[in-house]
Amino acid sequence: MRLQTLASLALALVLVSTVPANAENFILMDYSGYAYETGGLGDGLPSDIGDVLVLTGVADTYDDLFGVQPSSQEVTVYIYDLVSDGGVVDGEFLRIAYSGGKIAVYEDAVLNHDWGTNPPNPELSTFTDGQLLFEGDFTRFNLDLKIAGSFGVGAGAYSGDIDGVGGTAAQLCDGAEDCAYTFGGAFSKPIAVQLPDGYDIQIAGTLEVDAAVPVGPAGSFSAIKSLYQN
Amino acid sequence: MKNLFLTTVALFVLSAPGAAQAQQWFDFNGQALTPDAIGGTLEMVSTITNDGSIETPLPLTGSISDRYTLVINGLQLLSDDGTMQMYAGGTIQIIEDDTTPADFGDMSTFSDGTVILEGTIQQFARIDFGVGGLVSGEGSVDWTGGSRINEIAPADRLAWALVVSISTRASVLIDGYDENWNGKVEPGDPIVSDGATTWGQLKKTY
Repeated sequence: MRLQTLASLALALVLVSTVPANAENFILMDYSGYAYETGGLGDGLPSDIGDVLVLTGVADTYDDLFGVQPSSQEVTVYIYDLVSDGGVVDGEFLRIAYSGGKIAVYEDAVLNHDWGTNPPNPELSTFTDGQLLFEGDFTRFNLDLKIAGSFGVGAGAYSGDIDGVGGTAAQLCDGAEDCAYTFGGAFSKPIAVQLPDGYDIQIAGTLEVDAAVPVGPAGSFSAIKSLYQN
Repeated sequence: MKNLFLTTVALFVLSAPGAAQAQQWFDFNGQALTPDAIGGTLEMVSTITNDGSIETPLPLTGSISDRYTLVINGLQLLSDDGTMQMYAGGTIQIIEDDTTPADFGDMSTFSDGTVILEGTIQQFARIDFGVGGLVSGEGSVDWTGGSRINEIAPADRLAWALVVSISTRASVLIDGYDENWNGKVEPGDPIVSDGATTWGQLKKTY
């Protein structure tokens, strides 16, 4: 009987500690910015094998769980080292898969982001200054662009899965693989406006991080035991 | 001859674009209801989310995401080939309201208040890339009215870009809605204030 009880307790502990996060357990960040690829991309330019894509953005909104103070802090997103497979033309679309790639998100008390022109440039350092809020490695990144047709040429979208490896938000991942996801619209010329010289793509995206849920007292071993003491 | 020269200089100064300006746009994040068939309309309600450090084309005050909403109504679906949907004919409004909080449970809470900008959507293309839920949209907006329309020069009111990242992921979708719309509407170039100067000040520069 005692063994059966202990087995039940162990099973309960396992069940409680492995409860999957639900939709409400994502913490969200909304960012906008620009991207460039070595050799150019879009507006008639292909993505060649080995070209490297860099995305830079500024967060517009972020979940309270990120602990950022709006207005007095700037949050910047820096995605880099994404290496193109050269892309495949699929009807009216150019579909590009990237390997490698990292994301770093910084919070900064100095509101100094500046895209400058003709990246890479010294101004890009304004996206990597401050305190590291989240750092991750991409396990997948895809970008699709519409390159032909009557309408929508230049419109695109991207998505990527991320392993969190550093920063405060990465701790929220609790070490889980693919704990973060980024998705966004990508717009090359002629759609992109206010595109600084030398940048290829305008982006509007979100970053989602799977927040590991504090399960509270019911998650402690003593709390589980208490369920069996009545 | 001298007067002609000064007149020419004055016109140049008053119409010259300012120094390089930081980027400006209205960033928004919201939820959309999509039409079931050709002829139906798309409705979208959102809050303006420039609480970060991106400047808005018109100065907004207070807590922006609590006070300003962006609403699209009557955007009519004209065609759908399975990959691309073409829309047109809708209206877009930016509304200021510091009394009733916007609540996605009641779409009307996004539309009450003072309409500061109102415009028409000339066309909108929604493109489904068919893999991984990748969807985006792009269109064009002409501003035609609203209480603050006169703060934008007539020539600057036309052909603003409307670009949207569209998602149906459960993590960003609110019950009852079909899509999350995260996007921005922006002028081709940053809006700059009129540069008022006196004749005397202008002459001093020479």
